[in-house]
Amino acid sequence: MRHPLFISMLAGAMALGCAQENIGTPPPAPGQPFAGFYFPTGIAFVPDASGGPGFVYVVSSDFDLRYNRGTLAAVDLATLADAIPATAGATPAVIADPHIAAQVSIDVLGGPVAVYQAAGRPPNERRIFIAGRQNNSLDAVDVDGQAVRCALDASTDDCSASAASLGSGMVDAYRPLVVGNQVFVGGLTAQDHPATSGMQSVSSVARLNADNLSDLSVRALGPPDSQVGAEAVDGLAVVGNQLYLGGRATGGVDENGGALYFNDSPLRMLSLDGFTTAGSATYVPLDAQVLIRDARAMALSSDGTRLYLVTHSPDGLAILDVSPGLDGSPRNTVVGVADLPLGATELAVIPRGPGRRDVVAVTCGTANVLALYDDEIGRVVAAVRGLGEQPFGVAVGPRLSASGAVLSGVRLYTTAFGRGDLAVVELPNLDDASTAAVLATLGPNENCLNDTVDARPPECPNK
Amino acid sequence: MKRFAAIAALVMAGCSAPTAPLPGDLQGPEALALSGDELYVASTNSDELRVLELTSDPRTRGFASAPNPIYVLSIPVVTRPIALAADTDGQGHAGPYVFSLSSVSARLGIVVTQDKKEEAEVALPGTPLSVAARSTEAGGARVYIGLALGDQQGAVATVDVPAPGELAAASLAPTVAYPLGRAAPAGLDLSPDGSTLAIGDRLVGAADGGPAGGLIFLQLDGGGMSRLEVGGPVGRVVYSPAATRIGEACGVIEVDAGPPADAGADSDGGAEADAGLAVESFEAGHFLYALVESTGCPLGERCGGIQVVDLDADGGPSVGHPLQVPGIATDVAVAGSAAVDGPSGDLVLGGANCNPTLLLAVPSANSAVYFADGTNGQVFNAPSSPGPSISSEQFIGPDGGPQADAGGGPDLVDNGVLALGGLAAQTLVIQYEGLLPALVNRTATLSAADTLVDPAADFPALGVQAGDLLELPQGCSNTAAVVADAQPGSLTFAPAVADPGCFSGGTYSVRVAGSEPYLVAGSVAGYLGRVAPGGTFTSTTAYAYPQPASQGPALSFQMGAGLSNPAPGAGWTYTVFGGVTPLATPGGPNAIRPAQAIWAPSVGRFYVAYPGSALGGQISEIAPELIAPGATNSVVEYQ
Repeated sequence: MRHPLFISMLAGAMALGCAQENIGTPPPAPGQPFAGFYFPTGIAFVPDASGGPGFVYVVSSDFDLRYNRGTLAAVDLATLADAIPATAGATPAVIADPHIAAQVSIDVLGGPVAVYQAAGRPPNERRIFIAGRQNNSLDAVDVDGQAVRCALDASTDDCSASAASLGSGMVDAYRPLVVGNQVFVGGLTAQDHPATSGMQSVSSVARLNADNLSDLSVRALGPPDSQVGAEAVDGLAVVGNQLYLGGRATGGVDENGGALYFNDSPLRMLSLDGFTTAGSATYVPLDAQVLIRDARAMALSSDGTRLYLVTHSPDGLAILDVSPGLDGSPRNTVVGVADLPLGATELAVIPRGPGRRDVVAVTCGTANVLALYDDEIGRVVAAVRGLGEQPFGVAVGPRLSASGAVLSGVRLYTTAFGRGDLAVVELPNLDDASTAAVLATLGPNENCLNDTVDARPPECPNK
Repeated sequence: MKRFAAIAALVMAGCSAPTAPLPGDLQGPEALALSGDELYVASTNSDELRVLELTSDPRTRGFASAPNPIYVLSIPVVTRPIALAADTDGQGHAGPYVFSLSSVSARLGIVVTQDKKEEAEVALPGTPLSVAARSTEAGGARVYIGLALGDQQGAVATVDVPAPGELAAASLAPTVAYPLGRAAPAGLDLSPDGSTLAIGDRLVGAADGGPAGGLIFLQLDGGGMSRLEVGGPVGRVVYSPAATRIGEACGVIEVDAGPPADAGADSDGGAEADAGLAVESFEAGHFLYALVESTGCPLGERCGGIQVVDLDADGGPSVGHPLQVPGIATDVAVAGSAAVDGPSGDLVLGGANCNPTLLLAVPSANSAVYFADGTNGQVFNAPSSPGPSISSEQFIGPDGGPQADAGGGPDLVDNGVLALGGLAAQTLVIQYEGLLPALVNRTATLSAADTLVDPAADFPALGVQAGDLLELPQGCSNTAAVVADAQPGSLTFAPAVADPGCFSGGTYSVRVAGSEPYLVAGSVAGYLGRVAPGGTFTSTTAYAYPQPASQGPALSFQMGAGLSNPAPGAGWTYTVFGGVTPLATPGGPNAIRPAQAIWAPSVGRFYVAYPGSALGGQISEIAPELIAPGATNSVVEYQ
């Protein structure tokens, strides 16, 4: 018989070993107190197999690292059919239960998502990619309605364990984009020169196979593409065979004390045909047309001829003509700029149909609104309030009647980073933005978890 | 006694010492309105107004202070004000109000200028886009608001506002007085006599090929409504003030030094000789300036810029070609009888002493402000700018393969004629069976094997002719698809597409072919035309920078015999430059992306709102003398 002390030491060592593997507090599971969205960021809408309302999948970034993981949560919109009002009331319905059908853990500090539909798979079966900025990894989650599984290891609900590393040199991994069967992730690569200075980072892009997350290739856009500068890649889009990269101003200084913020045009193109080839990235000279110093999300118009580019400093939406020029490459002509409320961040394109111009929805995190830009009028025509503080992600889904018939207009889903809720916005008439309204918000207020009790909002049950 | 006098002098000196200007603390200023000597500035992102006091002494010019003078005055108004208007009477005298407009909350704010306070708000239907106001004889104002009502319908609403003393007791409500039909009234201005409301219609063309916006003139006395196409959808509109020109016009942009050029402008009062100087007078409202917005341009067509509409032309309003500036024009402001004194006295441009009379300031999204003559829409050319040039001929082989130049080209360097201002600097191609620039890899549907539908493509305007070739993606058999007829939004083929199933919602391109198989196109201008072997090419497109019509076409040349071994895509490229470098001034070292501009006659300065200034926003004060070459004064920034 072993000595009791030895057994207890062994047990202690085992427990310690387990704790080291999964240190900290896990995020609350569905049904537990304060289960919901915690500093939510990325969001995606995916239709369901039976023509029902579909699902939205929400990233919780766990921004203050209260928990040891972020999450990707599935919200079954069918279960909310009765709770969400059919029409907007004077105030949105507040639904404390976030109706999370399932969730998996992912790396912390996740941001925007990219959605992949593998060849031959139905539209309800998707793979969602999320980049984790802390570990600079790419999490992959397969979703099919309520079924939410880690793409590379379905035996666990912690997808961070099987997340793909983006390489030791990459930092600030932020936005994924799926092109064909490849997934790209923008970020920075630290060259760290002089050593330990944290200086000399260069914009970079990682590329992996979207099916198995293999074949990692990281392209640092440093010299000889020296005009690019040290701006973290934020927005990504594809026009023809060119990957467009938007540069987020870092606000830092270069080794000569110059402000990086003012250095370069933050838009460039990288040939998909020569991803790893030096010189295949080109600087898009916008300065003669419009001054842009900080580019955020971007998306192509529904007809593929225009690029909508969200900018900071000032906050706005630049519209570029990217239709082919004489040499077959995109024209890159700026045709307009619309000023936006403060904190413009993410966008979603809402098509009106053939021959029509789009409506573009942009989350404005500082102004706490969802701005609607009408490309037929060239103006911001609505700013929807009541979404919760710091709206971030936005996704578009259909409007359905109770019987499942498709109605005119769209539903928009937004995440509120500063409140921790999901807002459901209805836009019944794409030709009348004044019809836009928040129907409901879902989820408990994340600020109820504030360690300072007095700082918790009045509605908190634990105040 | 001497001691007291010294102390008193010191105190007085202290009192009279200039105080430091108050920071404006502007947050994204997008709109301006002038009320007397006060410039109201919308601090759009902080939902308030500031007041820039335009004192005659520039040293005391600055933002008005709050009652506590260490703070700048704040006038809280409607949410996110994007347009302002001050009411004036028929003579331009300031009325009692400034109105602020919120698109996102659909409200009109009413600020009493005497109190510097918003004293009422009015809820509006639809999405308000623009505002204008006129003082009434009763001491109040009538406000006009351009509304987008949904389903592409527009209207102008009115709000009658009583005199400030009666405002508190008044019941204010909008009246949708003037339905406009299909329109988006993004700009409004009242004619100087108050009889007409000019409306900029910003709505793009209908999906079925219906007309894009333009100008609408509303006769306020019940005389009806008329439309005027000006080349694209319109945002801001501005009537010209009264102006008198003494001296020579800047009507012709001269490159080489030479004698002063004659005026090309129309005149109300005629030209008279007075002590050797020509005198021309223009009544207020002679011209209307319309901002044609490039985001509204149809597929593949360039339509942005400032359109100068001569409202007093014989035979009705006369429309030329839009005034283009580098970047994107964001607004236009006009100065009447602006005094422009260069270092040597008169403004000297290209060797001609001239007076611009109606001087336009056009802010561009590239942050510079460009200047132009408001009587003809011509930008001023930098004196050092070289003349038009065509250079650097290069042969390009056919698609996917090299080929030697066997001759037969136009030899444009020696034989081409490029007019001053005809084309901006760019690459020109002349290409056998070249792809039409706006019709490369477009998405469309085949409604039948012989019919392609692309609602956004105005095929005749984009250069498609019978005999042109349809090109489908690789792998589709389409060699026989030839255009038989081109209509806006659709093409028909004879013979039809051989394998329509292969196309199935894919992309297509169109190559020029048939009797005029050589494409002429510019990398900036897009499609310029086409030419047959041995034919004469004469462009019909607008000048990049307008010039007198007597100059002829922007580009003309005689085509050679053509390639001896023609293959699709083979041809020649050239570097072309129309010889015009528009004069501009930066908005200041911190200025980013301007919004509205306005002219303040009492101080003789333009003011431009920059919502993107590094400090959250700024107003730049620009002296017209800055357009004079060699000017040494600079832009003043109010932040």
